[in-house]
Amino acid sequence: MVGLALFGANATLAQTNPSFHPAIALLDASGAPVQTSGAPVSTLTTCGNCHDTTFIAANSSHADGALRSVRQDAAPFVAESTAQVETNCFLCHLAQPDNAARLAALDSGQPQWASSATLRAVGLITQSASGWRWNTGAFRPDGMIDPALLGLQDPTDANCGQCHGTVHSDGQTPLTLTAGESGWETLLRGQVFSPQRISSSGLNIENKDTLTRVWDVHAERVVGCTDCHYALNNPVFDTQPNITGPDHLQFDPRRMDFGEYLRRPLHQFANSSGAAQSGFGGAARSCASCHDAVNTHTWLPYTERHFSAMTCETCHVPTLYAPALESVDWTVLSADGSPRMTYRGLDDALIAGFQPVVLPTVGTDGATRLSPYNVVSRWYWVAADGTPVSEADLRAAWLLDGAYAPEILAAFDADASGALEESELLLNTPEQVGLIAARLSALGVSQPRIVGDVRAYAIHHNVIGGQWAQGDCTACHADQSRLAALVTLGSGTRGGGTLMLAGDLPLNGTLQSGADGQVFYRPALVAAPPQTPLVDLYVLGHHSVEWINWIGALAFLGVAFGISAHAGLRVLALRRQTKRASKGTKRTVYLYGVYERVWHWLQTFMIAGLLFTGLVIHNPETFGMFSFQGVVLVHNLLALILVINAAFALVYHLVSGEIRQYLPKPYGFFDNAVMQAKYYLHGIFRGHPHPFAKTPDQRLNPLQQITYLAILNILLPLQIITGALMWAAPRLPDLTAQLGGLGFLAPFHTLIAWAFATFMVLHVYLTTTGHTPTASIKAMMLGWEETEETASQVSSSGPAPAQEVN
Amino acid sequence: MLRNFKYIWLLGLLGTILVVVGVVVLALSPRRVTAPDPWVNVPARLPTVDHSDLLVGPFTTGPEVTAACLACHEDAAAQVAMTTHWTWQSPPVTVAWRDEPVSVGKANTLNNFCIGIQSNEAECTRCHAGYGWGPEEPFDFTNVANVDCLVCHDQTGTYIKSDEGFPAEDVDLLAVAQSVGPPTRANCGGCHFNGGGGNGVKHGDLDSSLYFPSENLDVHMGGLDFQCTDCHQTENHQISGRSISVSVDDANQIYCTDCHETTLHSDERITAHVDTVACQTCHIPTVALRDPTRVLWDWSQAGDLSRTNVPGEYLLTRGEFMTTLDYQPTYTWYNGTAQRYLLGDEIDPSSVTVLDPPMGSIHDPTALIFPFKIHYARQPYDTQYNILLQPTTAGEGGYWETFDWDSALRLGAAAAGIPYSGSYGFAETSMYWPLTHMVQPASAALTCTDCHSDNGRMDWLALGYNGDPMVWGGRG
Repeated sequence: MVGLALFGANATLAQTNPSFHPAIALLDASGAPVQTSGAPVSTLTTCGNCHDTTFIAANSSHADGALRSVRQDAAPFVAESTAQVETNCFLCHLAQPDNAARLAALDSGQPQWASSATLRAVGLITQSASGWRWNTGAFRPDGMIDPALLGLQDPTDANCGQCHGTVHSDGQTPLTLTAGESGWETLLRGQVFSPQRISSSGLNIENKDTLTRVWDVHAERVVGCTDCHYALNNPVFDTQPNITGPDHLQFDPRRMDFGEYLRRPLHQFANSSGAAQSGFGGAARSCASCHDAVNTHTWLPYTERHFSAMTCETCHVPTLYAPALESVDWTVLSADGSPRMTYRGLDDALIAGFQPVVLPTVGTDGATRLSPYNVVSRWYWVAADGTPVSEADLRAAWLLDGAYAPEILAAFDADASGALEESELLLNTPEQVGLIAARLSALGVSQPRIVGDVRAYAIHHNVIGGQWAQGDCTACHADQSRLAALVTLGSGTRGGGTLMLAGDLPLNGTLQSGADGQVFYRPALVAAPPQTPLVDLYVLGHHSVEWINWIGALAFLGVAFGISAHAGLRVLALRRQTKRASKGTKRTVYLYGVYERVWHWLQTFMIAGLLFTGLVIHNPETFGMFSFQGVVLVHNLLALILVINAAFALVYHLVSGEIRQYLPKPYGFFDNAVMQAKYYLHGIFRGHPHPFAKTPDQRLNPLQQITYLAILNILLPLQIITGALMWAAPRLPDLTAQLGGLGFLAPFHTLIAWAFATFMVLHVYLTTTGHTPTASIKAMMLGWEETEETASQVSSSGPAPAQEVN
Repeated sequence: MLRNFKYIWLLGLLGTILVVVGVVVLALSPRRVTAPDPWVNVPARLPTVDHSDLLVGPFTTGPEVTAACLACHEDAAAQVAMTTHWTWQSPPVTVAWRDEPVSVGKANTLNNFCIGIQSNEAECTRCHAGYGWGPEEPFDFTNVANVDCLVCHDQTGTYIKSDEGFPAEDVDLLAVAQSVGPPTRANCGGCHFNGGGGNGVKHGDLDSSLYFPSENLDVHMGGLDFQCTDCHQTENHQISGRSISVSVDDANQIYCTDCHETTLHSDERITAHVDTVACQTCHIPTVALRDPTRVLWDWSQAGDLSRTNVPGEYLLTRGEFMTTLDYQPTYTWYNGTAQRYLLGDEIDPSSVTVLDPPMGSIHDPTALIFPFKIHYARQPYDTQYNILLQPTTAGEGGYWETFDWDSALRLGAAAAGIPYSGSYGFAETSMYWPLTHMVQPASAALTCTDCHSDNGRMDWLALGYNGDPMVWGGRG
């Protein structure tokens, strides 16, 4: 029919890379063709014709052909079979490997057929009751296998996903989660590797239509598993550090050729724990190996500080939208032999997503940074010597012929429904614990008991670009900081066992008990440069030193209360002395020059602004309307203006000699100070004249002099220095660390801020003690102050230059 | 002296604020220029006038209504007569691929759906913006009294045209005339959603689902309730827009960039694509989202009395069809113009004749990779002269009456003015339909792996690349 022929021309051509692999003969261990010997295929002999399979197997973390998924991380069981099964090349290098058949062969006690079973899906072998039979019809007449049938290739993401979690490369078909073997990695970490938008997935996710981000930006950008986890000697990847050659060389062109690489490809893959232990170079790359983070994060305040305290993933893996394990309980078994599990980010059937917990981890550069993890509590039976009970024994204790043993049902099936519902599948009573223990003992386990531990699973995938990354500073810089959030771990006890923490990195935090026997993990916020002991992090906006705030608040409120009382008494006194009120002789003197007024008011606004922005930074949650990042920037800018203004003022005062105003005269200073104090405490209420009149040459009374001396020489420099050091912390980490680090500087800065706030209140109040309450304030605005003649006027430094009012 | 100047504090306050705000603004001043507002280029809709008191009738024929319209809108019919909605044929255009200027349009050009209007006018001109264009005598294009105002301006939704473009018998012309207003999607869609003889047949990106579209179907018409004329801006009845099935030039064309900046993507990777990839390519991932569109029409199967009629698959009069839902476009280089098969052009019957091959290639810097719907057909051709033939189908003595190809082709050839040797066969043809409607929300746009992966939708070699440009590098 013409229709199909024509329409075929419209079909999009698949852009598959043609496989260069030649036809191969499947050989058994003795080197004989399998279709004649009927024996299982041996990859070591089959692939070993061209590839150095002995070398490959010896240098591969995937060499054990009996390898299963990462379930073993979630299950405490000791591997049941220690017999090494030959490396299974097909599982990773075939376009359509049959992992289910392979696992079935392993589970049915036929590990020697595991590699052969992997070829079932391409039709080369069939399984019947009589065993495995090679399908001779699928072989070419010359006994070779058509390479197109095998589709031998570089491992694709799908190959890796068979064991390493949900991989979904198809952008159009809605993603669903993979169950079984390949689902474990996703369960442990919540990771899904797919270029699909979450909104296009087939999962029941809260607010899904707004989640138009992709699952993993690298998957989206066509960066597959082997692009980061490449064979270490793959000549495509230039992994030689520049420093290995002589200085005059930037690139060493003498490289391994492809033939040699293909003969002996290292099966240690970059950025994996196996590779790190392999001793081969270039094993560890970081985000920075590909990404220039410094130049793309110029918007981020304290860029380097952030980079030295946390990994890229901390912000760029903000939320995971696959349900991940919270706890896995192997003390009880479901009828299908699976453990009882609880999940994070799951609200019944609705996936809400979860923020990973942030734990300290040692990076490839040796520095300790915070990085995202999932934390899972595990419960399982152990024997007297602490070895976990094997899965076989556990199944034997619980199940009989694929169903619950009658004794188990009798003990657990409270509602006699014949099945164990979720609420029944728990070791609720000592009798139930005893029953399982007794059944395990009967199977030869000595003194079985329950232990619980906590494991952390690093999250490096599901990375997302800046638009969707953690961009809200107050996620961390707030009282309810994400960094310090408690992590639920489920129940803290099980059948007499108690949850324990290993206590080393990354789980160096503590467990905290909550209501209903729940237990939480409390992270310890630590980080450190390479080869440096861990130090507690001080997170601005989250951390504060309580007693400093209390002292500061008390001082502030005390002064506020004091001046209120003082003011009240003055008002009362004033009423009594109205008769004498306007007795003094008034003079108008020019006290403050234009520049003095300008710097004073500029500084006033700067200090007020700094106090306010500092308060916001200190307590961002209370001021949620402000952008944390913006307030930090404004704070730093105000500080810069203040410092410049102070510097100009200092020069002015030095050059003009006005600095003398601030210097107390040693002779009689103490007497004068007492006289001034007495006036404030006593004379002011009686309407006595000020003991010291303000004159252009001597504007400050002795108490003011001593106060300003303290503020300008102690408080202001200290505040500038602590502030500057906090600002410089990421730039001069060593200097800051020597001076106590942020953990000391920040609270100290806060304390002085309280002192400044207190001074401001007192200062403003005292300005009302002039001739009239507003006289001094007006003077600071206009320069001229109306003062009264005083007793000491005559004896002081003489009358001011005549300033006539015009 | 300022000593008594009461408001000096205000001066100081302002000065201080100026210093602080100045510094902060300087430090915070945005480094990225925000994209200009696309709404600037969307014209304000004109106010409508209620015509129910202005038109009192009675009207018994279409031209009577037109005369009433022209009483006030004196120039309207003359304006319409200047447009292809009336002429169905473009003025001559000078093109590079032909020596003499080319004048094409529905009136004189073949397609691979119903093939051509000549000798079938009575039925085809139901979509003509005029009255009385039949097969018997040449239509008088100068008689503007026959302009049909109502087909575009009716707001009752009851105006239906019949043979030769006359109003159908039951139409209440007075009610229709009194309802007139600016054209809506319903007016344009009446013809343009039904091209090729039915809903969604021709275009793929235009069908009746756009009468009441959701945002996910078309962001402009759905999410923002655009009318056709918001983009197809119209002056003096001259409606902007072009399609290569009936136009060989790109004058008066509409572009996404008329409103949207090409630099609006914040992602550098995407921005790097705009020099080679049209907006439509990523933002129209598939068309025919709700209603299927036709991808194949095999005329050679018509007249097979052994088969039963199945809508969308087989009709005795038409032959065999294939339709598809959720059509994934085919991509090719396109510089906005196309060549056109003209009546009498010789074909190579052993290969597929493209009736409107888009112009452009990887070497044409003005060409972009653009999404197309391709419609394939087998249609009659003269096996001796190797030219495509124009059958009489709906017309008097046409194939749908006689099921005799020979006579139908003879009648049609005479009407179209092409030779017919008497021996015919069926040749394979294709037509490219540029896809530019059904723009979906950005969140549904293509992502990297839709093209750059082992099962991506681009045929890199056919486009002229050595392989995926992600690894091979792009052009120039």
